[in-house]
Amino acid sequence: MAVVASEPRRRATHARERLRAQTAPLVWFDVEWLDPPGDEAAADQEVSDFLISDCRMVHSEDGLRHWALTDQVRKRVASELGRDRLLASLREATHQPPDRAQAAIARALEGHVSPIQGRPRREIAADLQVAQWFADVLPDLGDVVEIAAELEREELLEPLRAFINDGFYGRTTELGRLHAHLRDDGGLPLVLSGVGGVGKSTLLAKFVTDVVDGKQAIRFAYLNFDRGALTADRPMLLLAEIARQVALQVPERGATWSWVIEDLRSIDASELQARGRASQQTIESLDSPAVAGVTGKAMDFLGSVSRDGLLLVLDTFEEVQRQRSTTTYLLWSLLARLRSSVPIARVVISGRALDRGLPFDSEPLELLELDDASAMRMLLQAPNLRISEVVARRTIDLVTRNPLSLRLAIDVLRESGPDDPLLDLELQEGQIQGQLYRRILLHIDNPKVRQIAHPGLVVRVVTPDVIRHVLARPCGLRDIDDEEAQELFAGLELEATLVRSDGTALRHRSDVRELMLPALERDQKPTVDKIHRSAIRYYRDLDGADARAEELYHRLMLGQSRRTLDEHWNPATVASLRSSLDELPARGQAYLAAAAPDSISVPAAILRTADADEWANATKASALAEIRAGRPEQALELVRARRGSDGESLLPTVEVEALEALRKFDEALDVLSRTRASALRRSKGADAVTLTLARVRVLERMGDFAAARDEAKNLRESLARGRGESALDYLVATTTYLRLLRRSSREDSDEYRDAVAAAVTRAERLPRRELASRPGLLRELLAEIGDASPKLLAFGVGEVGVARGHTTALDEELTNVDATDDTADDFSEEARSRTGVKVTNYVNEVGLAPSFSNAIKQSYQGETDELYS
Amino acid sequence: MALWIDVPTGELDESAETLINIFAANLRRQEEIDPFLEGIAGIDLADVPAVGKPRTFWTSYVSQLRADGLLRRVVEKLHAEFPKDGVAPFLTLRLVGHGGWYDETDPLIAQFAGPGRSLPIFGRGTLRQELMLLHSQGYRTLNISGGGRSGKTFSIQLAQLLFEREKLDFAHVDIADWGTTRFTALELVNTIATELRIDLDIKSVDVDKEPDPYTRARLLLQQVRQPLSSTSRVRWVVIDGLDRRNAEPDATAFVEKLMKSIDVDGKPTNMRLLVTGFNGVQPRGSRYHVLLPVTRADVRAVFAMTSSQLGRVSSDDELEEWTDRAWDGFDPAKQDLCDLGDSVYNIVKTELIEAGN
Repeated sequence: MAVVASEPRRRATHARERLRAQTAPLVWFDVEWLDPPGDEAAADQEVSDFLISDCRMVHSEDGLRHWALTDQVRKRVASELGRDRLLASLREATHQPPDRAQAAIARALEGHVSPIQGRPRREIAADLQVAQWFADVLPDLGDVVEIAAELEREELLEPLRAFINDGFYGRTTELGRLHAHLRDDGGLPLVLSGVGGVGKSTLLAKFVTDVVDGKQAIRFAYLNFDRGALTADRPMLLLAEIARQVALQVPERGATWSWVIEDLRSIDASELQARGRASQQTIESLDSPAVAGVTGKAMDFLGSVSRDGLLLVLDTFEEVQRQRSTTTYLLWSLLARLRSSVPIARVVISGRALDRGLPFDSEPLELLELDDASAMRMLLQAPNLRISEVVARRTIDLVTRNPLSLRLAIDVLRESGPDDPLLDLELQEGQIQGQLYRRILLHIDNPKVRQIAHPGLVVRVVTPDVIRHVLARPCGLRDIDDEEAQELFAGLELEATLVRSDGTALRHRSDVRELMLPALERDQKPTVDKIHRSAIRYYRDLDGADARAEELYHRLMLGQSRRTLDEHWNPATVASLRSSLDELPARGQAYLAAAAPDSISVPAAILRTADADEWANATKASALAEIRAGRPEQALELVRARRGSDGESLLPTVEVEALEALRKFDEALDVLSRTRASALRRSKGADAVTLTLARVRVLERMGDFAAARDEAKNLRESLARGRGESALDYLVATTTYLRLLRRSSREDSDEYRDAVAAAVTRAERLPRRELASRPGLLRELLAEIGDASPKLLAFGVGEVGVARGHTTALDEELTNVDATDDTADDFSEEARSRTGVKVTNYVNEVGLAPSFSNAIKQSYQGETDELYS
Repeated sequence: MALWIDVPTGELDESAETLINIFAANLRRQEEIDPFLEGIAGIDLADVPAVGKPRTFWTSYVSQLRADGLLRRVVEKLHAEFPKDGVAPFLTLRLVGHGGWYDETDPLIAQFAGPGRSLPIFGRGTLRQELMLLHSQGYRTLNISGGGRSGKTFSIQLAQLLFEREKLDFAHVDIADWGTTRFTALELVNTIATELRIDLDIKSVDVDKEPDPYTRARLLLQQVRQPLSSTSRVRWVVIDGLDRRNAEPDATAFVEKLMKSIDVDGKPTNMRLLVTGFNGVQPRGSRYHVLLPVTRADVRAVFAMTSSQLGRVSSDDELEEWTDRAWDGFDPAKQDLCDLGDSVYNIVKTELIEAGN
């Protein structure tokens, strides 16, 4: 920010006041527009001083830089001048910038303020900027918070409106079904399903905008899982996003609930993780008291502002389905909770091929092609296209009434004209879109470009290099040089119906590829395999995750062995490969599900084709998720569905965890003994460490502290000598050992003190991010060494939070922290994550008294001891 | 130490004023200098107004150079070409204005940052820790949040201090530089690339045709993930002001995707991302810090700490009196933190620097 010369640092001269008044109602200005008083030299000095002290340079739409008052100065000057002088100044201005915000200033000063509802987003943004500058002198502009909420609401709706900008055709029945669902859903979500390009997003856009523009005050939230950052395994985050969107629609109420949204986000970041155990997976649930409090508040809010209805739309749901099945369960738990708390809430789910594998009952609505009249209107009313009804009819006969086909046909008609003889090509049964695709190919003038385009869509990315080194030979072009490859690339780049360009690479349109690839794989297998092999050779010599993703994609398409795939596996490729999951053969899908079990799930039928390791990797996440969901019996069933060649468990740690949840400790020890012996025989040290830790845990939970302590001690010593995979293993073993010593009343022993010192040294040396990757460990560690490392405690409290109401000592210490927070009187229901952040802030500003660190430590001890009982 | 003139910004300050004064007073033979200036900075002097008004000319010219990140280069060239024209004194000033009055550069305890060390940092103990988590503890992204006037932009000065001290590569995108002009994802990407001196040609991208801001953001990210990756040095990207009204939804969407890409996929490699006012979805593992309002105690602590760091002995009464002067006239609900910062800086100048001399 500029260092502004404030009074009395630099007393404002008459000239300065005049310059400020001149420029206050202008969003930007040029020096030539200024009219400073005095002779030339004095004016030069005044203008320069004014620019330096009060202004900054800003970009404008014309691409040039201009001057503008800083926000700080503008607000102050406007307040001093008042409305009438600002208006006079504006009227005297010789120039006004051609800018939306400038027009908004003029409207506001002239008193032509109109309601913001229903105005274009960018006009609202301009109004908001003006309101922020001139709120003091122009109260008619409205409340800044309300304008900001309206702006964000329009930001939500604008992409939806864009879908129907070019017209909306037909779908009367489907729209009727959606509106009927809104009135009465029979307790079920409506599932809108259809192939890519059939018009699901357009239909949803029409439905949502109809609802929003309707007479009833129905609230809505639109969650698109194509967004990437929004994932179904973060229910708190999804609820926060639902609450955020709804709050925007009731700004007068929403602002007072913003803390709930903050809490939900905060819980998403830390709360659920904090309750996991160090050597086990996180246990997630919506039902813990701390989480339930905030969840309940969010539900209260949604219920209180949604009297006429609440519409929740979940789009691109196939992304959720591609993840593990229990992710869907977590999401469904959230929706069930929402439905029970807000009975008027309605859920619409949309995606491709949702008819299979949904873990809940639903009302299906399958979207098919357009009715005939709508298809005709789509063609006849398409922008920039004039065709007769005869041509439209013939086109429909050729390409069917699928909206994607019609859109492709419109592109072709725009290019070729209705009199093109190729339009009369014979229609082939079952190959309608393929026929259309071929017709598009035929419109490519350059035959070599046509050869590259097909079968070139076997590769996902086309560059000049890919054309030269991967495609040229298999596509029958023999050797070509760089120049020709560049020309072919430029030629293909023009085919917007087939590819999208980013200037350096082309990507085949996913809908076209989805349509054509299976037929290509089936009909031209030798050529296709040749392209795959050629692509592997090309990409294996390139660096970077993008090259790895393409290399792996082609290896998976070729159905290469697991050993080969393992040699080339790179976790950074998951997101890229997941987008092509449906293209892969079953074996490739099974491999991916095993390699990235947290991100990808596949149907059981595909999993059966996997080998033992692949099966175990792919099943592990689902089984753990069942345990988290409170269903250990189902988890046992999953892990026992397949055994190793000697009858051993393929997922021993998960099996043990399920047995622990059922309190079948002896059975768990038996599984561990057999598999640990097997791991040691096969020199699998890392497995042995994990199994030993599990064994210590089971013994501790059985109350056999002496046996557990001995095992933990041996393991720790072994890891200290360098045996083990990571420093985290050592910390887990040491933390466990410390806890067992404490629980055996040996806190005053030398071995306890030595272990504390070692743990502090090791933990402080670890990057905090690594430590925070196991929040359960962090909490257990702090339960033992919290008072010995203030640095770690200050960090860890913010990560795992602290709970009120568990120990008197901590509650008393927290009163000092609460004294710094004037946002509430009662903190008893505050989420532990929020309390944790407050404590971190307090510690960073005030410091940490020994009594406080001890109270936190004891609180953590209580939590972990409960967990291991 | 990096000079302030390395940071591209549309803002002016005391330091810029000093340089403008030096130029205006010493480089009066404009007709002789013009061809030289055009040659080294590529700025068409016809675009710089006020020929015949030397000080206004230099004000505009220096501002443009600074906004383009060319100031250092031009100053050094001017010094080489016109050594007798008084540019040398500028170069000897490490921090123009009151250069050198405050030497504390440890971001964990520094009380003043910014050009001329004129911007006090009130408290911000947790923010200081957060910056260190990104710098040395493996974290990669941080979102600084807070209501209006909470001092989000002010806090960026702490990061600048870290960059200076540790000689870190960084790009600083201040959305306020776009005034009321739409700030899109494409603008963001191009600015980052320019600041990091990465050659990107993505004008041909037809992102505007995509109705969904997240789709536009994804298309852009696909193109820049690789070029923005660094194989050697860590590079910081600071994006300040995503809650400004001119920030388009696709800019926020791009940051959301970039944040996930950095945190989850590790791409672009070796990148640290620091944003303010971001209201999208953060991935797990990303840091989030909400700035709390500045309190009277924070102001007093600045006086006390600065006094101690400068080796002055200030009594409790003095500290109280200075705090009253700065705090009593400040209304956090109406005024910007800059106003409070100005007051505190002026008091420190008067009571601790000038009085000490």
